[in-house]
Amino acid sequence: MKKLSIVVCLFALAISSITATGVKEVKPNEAMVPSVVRTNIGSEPDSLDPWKSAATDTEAIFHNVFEGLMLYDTNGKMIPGLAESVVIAPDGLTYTFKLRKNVLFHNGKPFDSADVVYTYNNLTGMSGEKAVSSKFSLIKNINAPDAYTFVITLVEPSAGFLSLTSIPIVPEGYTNQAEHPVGTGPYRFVEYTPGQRIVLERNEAYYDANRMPKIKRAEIYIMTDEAAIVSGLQSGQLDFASITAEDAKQLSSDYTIYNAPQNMVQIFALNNEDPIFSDVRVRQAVNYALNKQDVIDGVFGGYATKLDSNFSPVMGMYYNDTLSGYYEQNLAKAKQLLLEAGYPNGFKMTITVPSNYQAHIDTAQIFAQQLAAIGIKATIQPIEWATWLDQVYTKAQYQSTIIGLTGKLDPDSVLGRYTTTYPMNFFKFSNARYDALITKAKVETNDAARISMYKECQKILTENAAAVYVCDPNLTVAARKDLKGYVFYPVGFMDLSTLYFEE
Amino acid sequence: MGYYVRKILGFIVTLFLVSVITFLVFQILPGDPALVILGVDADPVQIEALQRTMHVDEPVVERYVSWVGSALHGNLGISFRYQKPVSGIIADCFSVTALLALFTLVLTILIGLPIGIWLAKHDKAKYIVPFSLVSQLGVSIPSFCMGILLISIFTVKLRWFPSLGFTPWSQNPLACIKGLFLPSFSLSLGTSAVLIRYLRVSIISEQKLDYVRTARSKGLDENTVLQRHVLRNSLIPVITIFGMLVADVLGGSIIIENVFSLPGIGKLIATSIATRDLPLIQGLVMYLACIVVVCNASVDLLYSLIDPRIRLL
Amino acid sequence: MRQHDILVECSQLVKEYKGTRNKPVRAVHDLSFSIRQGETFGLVGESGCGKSTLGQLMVRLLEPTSGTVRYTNFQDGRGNRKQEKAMRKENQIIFQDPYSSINPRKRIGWLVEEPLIIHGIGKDAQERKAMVCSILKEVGLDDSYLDRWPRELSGGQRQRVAIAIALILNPSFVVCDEVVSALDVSVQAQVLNLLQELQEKFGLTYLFISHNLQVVSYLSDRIGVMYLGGLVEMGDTEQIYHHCLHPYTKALFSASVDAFDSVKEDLLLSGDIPSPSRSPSGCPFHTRCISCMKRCIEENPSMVEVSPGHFCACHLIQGMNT
Ligand SMILES: Nc1ncnc2c1ncn2[C@@H]1O[C@H](COP(=O)(O)OP(=O)(O)O)[C@@H](O)[C@H]1O
Ligand SMILES: [Mg+2]
Repeated sequence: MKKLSIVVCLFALAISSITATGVKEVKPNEAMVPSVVRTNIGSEPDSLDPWKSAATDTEAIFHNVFEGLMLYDTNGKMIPGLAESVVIAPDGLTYTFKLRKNVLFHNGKPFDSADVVYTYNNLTGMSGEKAVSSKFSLIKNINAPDAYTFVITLVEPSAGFLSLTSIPIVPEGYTNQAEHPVGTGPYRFVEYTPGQRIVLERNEAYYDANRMPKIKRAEIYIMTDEAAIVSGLQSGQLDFASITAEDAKQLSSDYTIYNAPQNMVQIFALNNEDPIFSDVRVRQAVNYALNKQDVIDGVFGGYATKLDSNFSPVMGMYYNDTLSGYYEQNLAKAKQLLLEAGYPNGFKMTITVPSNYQAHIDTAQIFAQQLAAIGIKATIQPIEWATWLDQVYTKAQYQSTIIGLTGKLDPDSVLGRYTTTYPMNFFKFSNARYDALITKAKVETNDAARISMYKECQKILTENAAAVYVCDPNLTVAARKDLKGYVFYPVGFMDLSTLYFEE
Repeated sequence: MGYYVRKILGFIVTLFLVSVITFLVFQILPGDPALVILGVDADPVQIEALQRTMHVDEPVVERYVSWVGSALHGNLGISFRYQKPVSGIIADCFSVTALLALFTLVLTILIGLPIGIWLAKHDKAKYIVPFSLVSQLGVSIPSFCMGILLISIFTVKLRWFPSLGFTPWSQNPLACIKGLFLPSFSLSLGTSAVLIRYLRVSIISEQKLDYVRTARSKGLDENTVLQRHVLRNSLIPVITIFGMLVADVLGGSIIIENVFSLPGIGKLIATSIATRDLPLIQGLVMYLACIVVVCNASVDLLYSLIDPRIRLL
Repeated sequence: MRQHDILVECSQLVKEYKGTRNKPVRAVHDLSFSIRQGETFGLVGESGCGKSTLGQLMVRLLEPTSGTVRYTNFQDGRGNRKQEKAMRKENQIIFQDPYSSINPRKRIGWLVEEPLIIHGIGKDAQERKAMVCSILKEVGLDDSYLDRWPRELSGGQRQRVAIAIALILNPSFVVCDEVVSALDVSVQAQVLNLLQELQEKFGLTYLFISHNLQVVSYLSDRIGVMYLGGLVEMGDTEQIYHHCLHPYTKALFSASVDAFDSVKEDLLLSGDIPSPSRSPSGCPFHTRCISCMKRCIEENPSMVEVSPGHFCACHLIQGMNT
């Protein structure tokens, strides 16, 4: 008995000493300007190797480490990156990049045209290996006349091509990217502990004084649990983090809340080949039956932009603003359309939702209620993400689903999803005029003409009710009050170089 | 002799069956690991490239045979998700979960043993009833709720403990204990409640035996009788539940590791299933089977330590 | 050897156990008697009548609900750890079941030595070991038993160990609670003889408890007959054996004598023993007594000295005397 009580006492002592040191540790941190910024990422990076990575989350972090010939600014406009300048020949086929001098890779290797050639050889498959990406099939030819000039010749003109050149340039011959990524960006990679965190450190040799990071070190914790993220913020273990609209309300008094559209389109997809939804009138009826504002208020706490197009207004000049308000809720019209389509009493349908996205499940619930008003009985079927990818996304074995698709700088990679030949066209939308427009827009060099083609494409999608375009949910970020400089991009990019702590 | 041979044979058969079943389940389960990893923004070329490294296009039997072949050489393959050797990933995560489980068991003993003994000594309704209520709570509150509660008090309000990240023991033992304290504490409440119940009943029934009276008659005071004679004997039935507690702790760690963002086996299991990471799952299943065997062996060993009459054959 | 100094005396002893549904179980009920220095006092009664409870009360392993147990051979102080220890040293108990009465997870040597350690007897391990060996020899076990586990021993051997444990402190008073009833008949006599030898040798006083009147008569100087928590008859073995008066004692004798030609009758002891939690009014035995009278149902007879040293609690006898 005595022994036991001694053990208990020792243990209590140990705990109190631990907590005592804990208090000591926190204090200096709070007093000084921190040299570390800590945030979270919602999923494990898919691969550290930029050629093997496709996830938006991963890119959002590693865009701090890697740079392309061109970069994009906060409006999505292409700006010089590793290339100081680019000259596009009048025929639209030849791109001549002047490369920056005095750039060093994170491993100390100087950057020159050999690295660019190495990178593009692999991207296009000209190295003899399999092409790393399918997006560069337009390239006919590359060459480097000298160490700081790089020339690309295209098969045919492409207005969207320049936006592709933001793809990372990697050092020639370096094959260990998956383990230890090496780029030229303002932050260099330090470590990645699976399941735990990614650590980046300021690239002291960064060439652009304007983009030189102010914070020395960034720790990005891999956290999936919403509650854990909030308590991480509240306990001062995270400096900023993206959170849900609901949590934002709770945190708004003690944290700076950044809130902006994130160029995502939440889509209520209706399988166009489904016996019921193959009738455009049924799809239109569904569109008229729904009230998107209820979703925006009920699911996203009001922080979302209502859509009637497959683009978010963040897409800027490509966004077709005339479509706004195309489908206002109109139950009479919806019922009329159902009647014409031969469903006077409605029908039964299933909404398949990936169970890991609570927002989509909540949306489905609201929609199911609204559809009941025109006699459609919707059943919600949550399925696992992997199953969703297989059954819905790849095989299109579903009736309807709700998903968010992120926007891209190049409109083609968003609208291209609806072309008849696109392998993952899970909408099963097929429209000859649409396909033709997409093909034409790709090679159109006249910006105005190209923009109007993409606007036309959006119109076709909306008029044919290819799907229900719900909203662009905002990206909500909570940051501690003294952390400043958070900026939004039209694509997923968490720019760490602009962040600073106020003294 | 025969006993050991039988045990080992049984173990091998178990491993074999479990690996076959896992393999088959993954053939039926829909979902392409490459697609799960790369997501909806993936370039088809990338998906294809990833699929090539996974050999998912080869026939099932062939893949299974080659897996067994390399597993026999100690090579559990490369994880789809992490593109690293499975054994290394598991070893890293296991060290976290093992520490978590160890801490939890230590806490369980530190909490459960004194309270269990005390309640057995004070076998009165006025102590038992409030305890039953509290222990009912301890058992029925899911450990993750407890975890969230503890975080909101000790991490958010008081800032005594961290709620995320894990510091390896080798790097900083103090920080490691600090990081694991709350998660193991939230797990240990339920297990302590179970331990207390078993221990109390066991001590009370043991105390009814005549040898306890003999010991008193020798002139020992109550505490010494308890410590020297009763406790050891009443621990034997309790050890049986220790295997169960270990299972409880490992099960609970799956959730608690997510709540506290600990990179342990629990989190790994969740990710590996969600991403259809077959090599990793296979490795984990093998690992867990081994753990079960080790746990059983340890319970046997504990028996023989506490009860010298039991000899390990 | 026979002396008449009283060694242990209990008066108006009551022990109630907490029963189910708050009904107390009266295991011992207003019981007074004394045991003389050096004698063997036999206690008989059916199972469940409170013999073991009384035995444990006599060595203070149980606290009485009311009444007292007093020892004459040493200063007695309650709550004083030192004196309590001294009391333990003087009074020992041996239990019925040698399988449960010794800790199965300790070696014999350790078990026998433990009392010495507790009471600080013997200056070192060596001396204690010598004492352990000598007491083991007294009970008929040699040194080889020191390192044995209880499970390696037979019932008789275990009971010898239990005796050794009880006697190593050199007590004056030993309660033997059904010490042979769990043993083979062949071993019973050996153990009884051993107890008798040891009594002579160490000048022990025994409270010898058994449900078997034959065994008790064989060993005891005086006998008390117990029924439902109280004594119904008490006297010298001679008196009880040849001139028992109480119908219950008679029934007990007939039961044990006829154990061999069982056909005859259980007539004398039919009916169930009343539950100790619901003692009948009047004479506790009236529910089963063959000569039950009206008075027996209404009035509980008190102990009366029928002849010198022979006490009996029965209206029949009192009727005869008055
Ligand atoms: N610890 C106890 N708690 C409650 N009742 C008990 C306890 N021990 C004995 N009793 C009851 O007291 C009565 C006397 O028991 P006991 O002294 O063991 O009788 P005996 O030794 O004559 O068989 C029995 O009815 C028994 O059920
Ligand atoms: Mg008894």
